[in-house]
Amino acid sequence: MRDPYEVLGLARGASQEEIKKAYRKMAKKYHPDLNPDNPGAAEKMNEINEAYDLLMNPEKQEAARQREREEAYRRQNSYGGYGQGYGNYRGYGGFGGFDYEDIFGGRQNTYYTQAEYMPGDSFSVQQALKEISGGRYQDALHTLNSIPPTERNARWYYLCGLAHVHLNNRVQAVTYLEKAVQMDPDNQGYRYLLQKIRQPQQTYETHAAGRSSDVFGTLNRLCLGCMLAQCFCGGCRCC
Amino acid sequence: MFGFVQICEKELSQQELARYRAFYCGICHTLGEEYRQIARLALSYDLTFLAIFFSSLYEPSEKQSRRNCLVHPFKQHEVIQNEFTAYAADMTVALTYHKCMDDWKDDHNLLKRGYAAALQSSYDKVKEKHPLPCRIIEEELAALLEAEKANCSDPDLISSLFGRLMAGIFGWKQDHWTPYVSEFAFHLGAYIELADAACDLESDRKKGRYNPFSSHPVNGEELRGALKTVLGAAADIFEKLPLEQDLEILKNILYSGIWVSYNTAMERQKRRGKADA
Repeated sequence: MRDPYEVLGLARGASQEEIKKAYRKMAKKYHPDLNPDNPGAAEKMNEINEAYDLLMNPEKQEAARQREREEAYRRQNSYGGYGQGYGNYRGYGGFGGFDYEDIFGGRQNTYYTQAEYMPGDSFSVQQALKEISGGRYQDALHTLNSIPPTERNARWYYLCGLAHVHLNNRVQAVTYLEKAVQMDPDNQGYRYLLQKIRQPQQTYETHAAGRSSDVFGTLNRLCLGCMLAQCFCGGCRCC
Repeated sequence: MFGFVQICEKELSQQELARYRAFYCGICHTLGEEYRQIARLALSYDLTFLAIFFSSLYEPSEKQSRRNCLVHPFKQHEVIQNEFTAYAADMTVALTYHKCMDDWKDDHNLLKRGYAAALQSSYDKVKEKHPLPCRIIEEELAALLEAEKANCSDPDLISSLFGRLMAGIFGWKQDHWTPYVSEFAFHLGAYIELADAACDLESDRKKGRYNPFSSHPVNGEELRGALKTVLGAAADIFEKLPLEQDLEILKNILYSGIWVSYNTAMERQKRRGKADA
């Protein structure tokens, strides 16, 4: 396809804000709904959308294209898979998942996030380690949960957290790893993994900077009808 | 479950607040016009967000008017209607219908069953228009009910079910934006389910009711960081969308308003904790 900067009428190195503005300008011009007599408008719109994607997500675009190639190959070879549409999205690192490449890719990441055998590991812990390296994360959690509460040290919380990271269980990953760090604050590996999976929390706080996140609610003020609606249809938090 | 995705009123300008109200009222009027008056009771903040969000992404033409209504019989108010307030009205009916049917199945709530019956013909209309989102709502709510019955203690699994429900609702257009918008909605839905469970945790524990966090070593307040991780995943996608129109309202909701219900519940738990101690 054409150079995406050219498609959007931008200079190289344009900022994200400039790219967004350019998109909106082009969309107003070429949107098919606004150009019912122009058959080329829809195609132009596709080009604009693709250019926008490329500029906003360069690294993810290539990964997505790779997955699409793999998917097409699988479909050709009658591999199961989802039907068209819902459930088949790869978006950002898989539907709802952690950014694996960011957490586990690269040598430094591996050094910190590999679950290595350590002397003194109980039989169950060794079992769980085998299961984690074998990709059997649910089994690993099952094994770890068989360990009595008295033996649940920082390493136990870390291994549970690690299994949850692999399973894309955000909440459990964060809570178990937080506990591991709490119990063994000097362990760099635990801190590193926690920091990695908390990346979205940090970007959220950056975006939210300057906005109050500590406001409380009062009984509804927008509309009496809404007040009734909220109470009736479940979700009222005023009582 | 409903009402988490709301505005932080004090941080919106008068103009922004008026615009938010106009969308809200637009959905309300559409519910009354397309379906029936009683459907207007189902109106929610969450689907108002959907309407404003999609209107910002697609910038469709808007029909603006000034109307009276039952609740505001004397003072006219601004109303905005477009294809997304229409869709929000459709999904309001679908979500409410299924939620009521589920509440009836779960604890034989007659009132809810009655309301579902009142919405039956409206829902049939919506189902014909949007079969896939309706099916997804039905399936995911059923899965949630099953998980609850099985005493599922995996909050991530539970949250992913509501996440998928929201992804199904937001992903209906099946166009270029759908992958991003679906995933954004997935994380938003996950937040809603988790925050809802966290808010109910104390009272559920006391009353021996199901809660996905019951067997976990954290309380509602400690979950705030984890909740931000989930919202952060949504924000990562949101911030890359080419949104301009009503952007301030959307950001107000995602970064401030979305904590209002949660903060209120945490404060109440703290006060109750002090009273019990």
